[in-house]
Amino acid sequence: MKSLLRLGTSLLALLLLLATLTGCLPFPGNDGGGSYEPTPLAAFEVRNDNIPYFTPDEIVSESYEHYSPLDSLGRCGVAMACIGTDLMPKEGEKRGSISDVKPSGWEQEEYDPELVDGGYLYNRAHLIGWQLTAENANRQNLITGTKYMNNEGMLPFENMVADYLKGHRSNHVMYRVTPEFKGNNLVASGVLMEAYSVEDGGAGICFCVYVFNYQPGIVINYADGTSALGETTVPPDSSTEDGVEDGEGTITPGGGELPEESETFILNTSTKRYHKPTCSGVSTMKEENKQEYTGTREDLEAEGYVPCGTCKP
Amino acid sequence: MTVIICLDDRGGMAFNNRRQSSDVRVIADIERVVDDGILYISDYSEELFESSSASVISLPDPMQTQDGDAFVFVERGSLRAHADKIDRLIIYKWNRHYPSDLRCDLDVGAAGLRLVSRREFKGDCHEKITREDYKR
Repeated sequence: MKSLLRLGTSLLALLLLLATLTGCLPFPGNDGGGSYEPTPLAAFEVRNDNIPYFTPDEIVSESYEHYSPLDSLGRCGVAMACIGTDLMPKEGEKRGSISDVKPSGWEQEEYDPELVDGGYLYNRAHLIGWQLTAENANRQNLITGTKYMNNEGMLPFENMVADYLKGHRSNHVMYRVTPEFKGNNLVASGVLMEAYSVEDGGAGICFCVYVFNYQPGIVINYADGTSALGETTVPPDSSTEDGVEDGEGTITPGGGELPEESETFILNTSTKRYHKPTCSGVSTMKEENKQEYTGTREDLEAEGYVPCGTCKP
Repeated sequence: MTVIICLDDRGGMAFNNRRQSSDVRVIADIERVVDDGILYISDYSEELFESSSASVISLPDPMQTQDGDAFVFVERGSLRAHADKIDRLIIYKWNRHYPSDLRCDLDVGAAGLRLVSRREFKGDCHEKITREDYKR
């Protein structure tokens, strides 16, 4: 991995080209003995074996962002960027209003919130998410997208890229989102999302997926954006050949009830003392040493924690 | 053995053969959990523990260790097949929704594991990380 980090951009580009030609990236598969479980992926499907279509000369390590001019029908085109933390929202930066933008096919409708989370069918969906390039009311970056496409399809990938960059602050991710408008349709059928982490040769981030622009239970007229209740083809008007069929997911561990005798304390992982949440020492504790613990006192003391001498929890 | 995993909101572990996320404060917390014990990992996880103070052993399949007191960090393997060997399970939750094509396949209740404690802390690149401890 360290040797990969030292590779120059040109060699990384060569690696990607090699990967494209051979159909696989030069990284190991899953750990020995493990097994992969197909999971529901109805919000998107994998394209090109998850290898983005970037050409070697498109892969750079300096931040930039580019948005295509709207076409004659007012539709967005490709949005592409080399994303570094310098393009991302600054600490504490708030999202600006985008409500003045009416993307092509913007025929908003309100449905039962049981059917559409929040009630409203459409979002002004960023091609490159706000958390990645902090673009607000940029008409070249906003399309009419369903709530389902935005939340279930695009957002998880944006989260993954954003958190990768926050944890690798000097790295960059090549990122491209291509909306697909069929014919003269004003609403996109979906978007192709591609991403590739540059400095580690795709070891951290590498995907190529098509996210469907549909909403379960709603039929959309993609020509003009009008909609009605009805059975949706899942995914709509698209091949599922390469996709993973929706099916029974695996069991998610977690949750469960804590023991009745559980109490809540604030831990200082450095001094190994535990405090009442109201202890004056909590406010001066370093963030990296602070944890909120809920469980039994006995379990905590078995880990070597001792009560604070001031608040005497 | 004690098994340690990281999960997103949907129980996801990985997408396209890559971990969904990582955080140096999770690694630091794992080091505290392991203390002077031995942590078994796969070669895929080595980069996360390159500068670790913990005693780390890398195996092709760390779940195959015969060390009953082992701590095993699993990023991309199945747990269900080894359920009877797991005495303690530690789950770090990112509190984020990421894409996944590999999800945790362990039924915690069926494996006889019960939640004993939960703790929350701020990550280096995650707003809130939740750690849940399950014991037999």
